[in-house]
Amino acid sequence: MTAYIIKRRINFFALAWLFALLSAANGYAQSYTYANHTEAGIMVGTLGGLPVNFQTFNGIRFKKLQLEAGLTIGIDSYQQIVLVPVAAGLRCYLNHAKTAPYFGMDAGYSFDWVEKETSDLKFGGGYMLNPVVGLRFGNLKPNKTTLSVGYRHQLASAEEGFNQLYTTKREYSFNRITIRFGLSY
Amino acid sequence: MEAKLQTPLTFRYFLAVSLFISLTFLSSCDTEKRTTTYFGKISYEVDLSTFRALSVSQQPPTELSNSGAIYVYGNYLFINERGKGIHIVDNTNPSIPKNLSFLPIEGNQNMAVNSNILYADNYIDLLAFDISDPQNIKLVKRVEDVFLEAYSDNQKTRIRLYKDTIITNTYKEEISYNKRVEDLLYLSSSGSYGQGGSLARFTLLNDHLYAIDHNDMRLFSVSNASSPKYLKKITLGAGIETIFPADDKLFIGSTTGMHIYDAAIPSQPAFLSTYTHVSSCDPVIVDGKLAYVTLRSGNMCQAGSNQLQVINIENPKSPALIRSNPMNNPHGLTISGESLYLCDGASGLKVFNKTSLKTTPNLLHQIKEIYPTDVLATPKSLIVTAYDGIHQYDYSNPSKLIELSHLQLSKPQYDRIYY
Repeated sequence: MTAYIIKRRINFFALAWLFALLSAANGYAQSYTYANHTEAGIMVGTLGGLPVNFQTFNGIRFKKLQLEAGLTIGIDSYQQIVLVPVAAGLRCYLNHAKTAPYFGMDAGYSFDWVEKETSDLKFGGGYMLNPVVGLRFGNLKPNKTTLSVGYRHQLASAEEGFNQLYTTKREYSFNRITIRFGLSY
Repeated sequence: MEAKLQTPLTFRYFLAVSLFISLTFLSSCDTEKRTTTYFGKISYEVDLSTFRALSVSQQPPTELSNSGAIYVYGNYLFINERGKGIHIVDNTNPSIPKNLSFLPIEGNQNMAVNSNILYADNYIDLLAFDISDPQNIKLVKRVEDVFLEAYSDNQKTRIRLYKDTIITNTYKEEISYNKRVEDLLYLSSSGSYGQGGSLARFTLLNDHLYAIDHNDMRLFSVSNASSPKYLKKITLGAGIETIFPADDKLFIGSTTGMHIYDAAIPSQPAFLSTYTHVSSCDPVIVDGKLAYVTLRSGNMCQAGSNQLQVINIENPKSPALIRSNPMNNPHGLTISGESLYLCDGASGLKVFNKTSLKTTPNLLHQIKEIYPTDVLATPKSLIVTAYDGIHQYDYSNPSKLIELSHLQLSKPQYDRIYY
């Protein structure tokens, strides 16, 4: 049930993101460039460990909108599982000034590709949603540094089995505060 | 200016709203939902009269699903269905064993046969069946109130039965780890694998039936086969595993060692000695002046080592170790002719020249990947209980066993792989 609601929620964001991208591209087709935003940070939560989050966003910058839309991939090393998130990403800056506040959103699915599965241990990825607020500092040209604080919701699972005698399935819902430092160009 | 800002504002509005939604919908801490699925049993209580009114008459054959002890009687195999009863299998031709019928006996784990009379435990009672015609088995005697531990109350009016030998249960977080382990241990302790073999828990010697459980040995006089008489209980100490009779002596394997009792006076077994070693599970087999003991580590047996020990028991008051042979995970064993057949966990069934075990083990043959638990050498075939059923081999040449048949279980017993 919960998974269903989350699925719907993510679908809603995916559609909205697509709509935003298309309408933006229509109206401002002439004034876009390539954008990259690479970040590293930590995810603070209650379920143990201080996982590291590394991610890189590649997309299109719509100059007049001060908006970037693209694809974010990364690696999240939770104590319980290491995940590879693949997400739709949005960055929306509030002004052109040297120091600009921004909203960011990454929404997608994290995969368990790097986890080694055995017959006794299986992993599962899950949906990820990560809205942030941040600041972009224009002091390092052409690269600009960013600092963001956000909220990362991540579902994942791990299943331990003892042959067929018993199995323990752990379904995680990580809800973490992310603090990330990044470079944007 | 206005046109420029209109669309971006929509986005910003959308982003602000989605931020708000995200933060309110999702709680601010991590959660872990743990679902544990395991095999267990549902227990229920019945009163004494209901329990004793349960049918113990022969029924059409049922599938083997959780087979335990095996007993060979003439052309017939009696295969215990753990906690449920006994399958009667026509083994006239070991290549094509035929499942004939089923004898439902609640709580049954053990059996023994003495002059056409089959003894079987039925929770609190000992039952005696006339099996002179295996097609028409009849209950001839019920010795009441002998295995008193099976009562679930102090007043001895109720008894706990277990329904559906193995089921799958799903528990959530609130079930603690310890609880699950206990249930698992219960499940695994409910099995004794081979009757008549080295994992026996009922044994017959000089007109007496000896029944062991974890702590005690109970004596029955069976001089009148069809009317067993309960004599007494002897407390042996903790962790009793197996009993093997030889030369008027009882060799009792326990988790702490091998106890030797003198049963020259069958009704008065006298303690002779204990051969102590590390904590392990211990099937014992005796061949002349030598005792062969398997020690293994495993969930039920506490920590321990995996060995096949050869012990000199010429003087039963002071048994002496001759040689300890390292093994993988040894279980039941038997000796026939010059060969010793050993069930060695993942290493499978091993055949050794028995005298070589005193010096350098000479492995004659090995059948891998059957996870055997007990082995029985009968005139017609070598019967091996394995996690996936009952295998029979032609063992006329111990160096080259030929599989004759495989009685399959409806579901492989994976738990046996580990014990």
